[in-house]
Amino acid sequence: MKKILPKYICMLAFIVTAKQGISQDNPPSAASAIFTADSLASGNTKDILTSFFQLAFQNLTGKRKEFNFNSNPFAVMLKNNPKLNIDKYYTKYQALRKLNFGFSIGLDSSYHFNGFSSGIKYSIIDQRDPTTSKLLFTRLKIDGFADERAKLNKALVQHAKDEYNASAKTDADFQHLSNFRDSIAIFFNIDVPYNKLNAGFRKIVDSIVKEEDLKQIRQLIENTPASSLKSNDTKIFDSLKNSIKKNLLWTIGLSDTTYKDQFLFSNLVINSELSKGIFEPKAGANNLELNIKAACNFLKDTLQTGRNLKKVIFSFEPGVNWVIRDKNNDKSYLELKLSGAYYHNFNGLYLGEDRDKIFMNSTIRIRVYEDIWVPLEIKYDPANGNVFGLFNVKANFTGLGKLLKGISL
Amino acid sequence: MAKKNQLVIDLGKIKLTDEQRKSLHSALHKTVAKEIKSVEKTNKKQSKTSGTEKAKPATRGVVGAPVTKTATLEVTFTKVNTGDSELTATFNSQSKKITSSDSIIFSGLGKGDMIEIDGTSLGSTTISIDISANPTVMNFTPGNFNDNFLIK
Repeated sequence: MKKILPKYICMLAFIVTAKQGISQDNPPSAASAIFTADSLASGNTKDILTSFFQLAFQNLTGKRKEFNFNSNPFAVMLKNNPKLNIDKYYTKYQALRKLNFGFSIGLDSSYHFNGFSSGIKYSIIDQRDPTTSKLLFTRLKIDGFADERAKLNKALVQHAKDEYNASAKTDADFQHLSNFRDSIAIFFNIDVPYNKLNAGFRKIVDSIVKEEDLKQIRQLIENTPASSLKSNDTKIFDSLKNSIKKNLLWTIGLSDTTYKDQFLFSNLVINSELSKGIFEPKAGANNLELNIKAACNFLKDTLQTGRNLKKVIFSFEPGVNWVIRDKNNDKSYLELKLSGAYYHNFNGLYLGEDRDKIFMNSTIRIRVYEDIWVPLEIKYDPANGNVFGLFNVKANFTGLGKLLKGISL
Repeated sequence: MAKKNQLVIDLGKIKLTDEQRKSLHSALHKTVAKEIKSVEKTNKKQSKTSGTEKAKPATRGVVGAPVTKTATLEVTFTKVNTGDSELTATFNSQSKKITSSDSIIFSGLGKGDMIEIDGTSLGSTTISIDISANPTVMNFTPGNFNDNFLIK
């Protein structure tokens, strides 16, 4: 392991350098880069709660390999019935949206079947979801820029009505009115620089903005006439979404593993995981996430005859995940997690086995492509000086879908 | 317009809702317009042969009543919980607000009238209108939004 470690570090350094090089040489264009809140979530967050599908190949180099599939039942239902996205169904199936289910097939070093695992996970608190955040909705509603925009729209409509009512209402007058409506729509909803809009329309906007004293819009169109209202709205919404990125995510779960020759549980785990950002998030800025895991593991006591779940081990793993983001697109591409692990054996202690154990863990996650992550886990036992390494690959189905469709980063 | 050129339909004691009146109006207009076209053709042929007075083009609408329309806006919010969206539609100082996917009805609309849309949603929003307007469908991404329907 000591020989392999420098190779891994060199490989990581190369990937990180290459990734930075790509980012600097090819800045993504605003038009082609469409990033969802889901794609901006950290890899660690996605491991805690999958929003769609996740495939994982765990412990690739170890003796007990695992092929893992995690999903969300609502996402599966949505694939078959897109109408479930409508708000009344979205609310109705809220519990299903918060649920993850998964199963995995264990393989030994010769790739032979070595047991089946399944599990469920439920998010008790998810304050990071921008589609359900009451805080985000309240902040959007009280946004001063939106208030000014609504006032401006009202004034522009009134102006158009007055002009049309004063006209002879001929077909030409109606066409003029229709063109004016289109100009309002472009002004509010299309990312066209303000100084590229029709000069006559801009003159009307300028006079209303001054008359109504719409300070924020006036500042935007006077100071940055090459920007648009739409791009400003997008910036505001993205910044509000960023503000909830550090909020709390807490899940509880239950998982089990069967014997390879019989459908009986050889292992049962009740677990809880919590993640919370430490600093106020800013777009493209690196951040630290607090990650705390606790689990109670019921497994077979081999000193007793028959198949049982009498050995009980409690574990507690507090850690910090350092999320390094690409400044151009706010996506995390490298994450370093350091954690400690404390294990306490309540029942079924073997001869010479310590009741309490402490480990130091570190996980390095690299986003190799869209939603495909390569996490490398390293465990260190300070009591015995042993180092264990686990090499995994985790892929989100949306990432694979994009890969197959040929949509690049 | 001369009284002999009007078509009046007596509905007797039947009371109609706005929707029923609109539907009946539309059906009558289609049928009558078709008949008028054939009558015009016949008249033109006759006037060509006889060389007498020029026929005036038929005008659209039920004579005697102001030409107003009733519009139904279908609003759909997606990828969002009910209550985490808000949309206000305004026509002639009459505002109607919804906080979940629903329909909004305005009556008394005429050519050149505008319905203002002002909304906020954590999800995507689609609004469609069932009468001739510019545009007939609006789509918005999550966030705050504004637009207007112009009735044709």
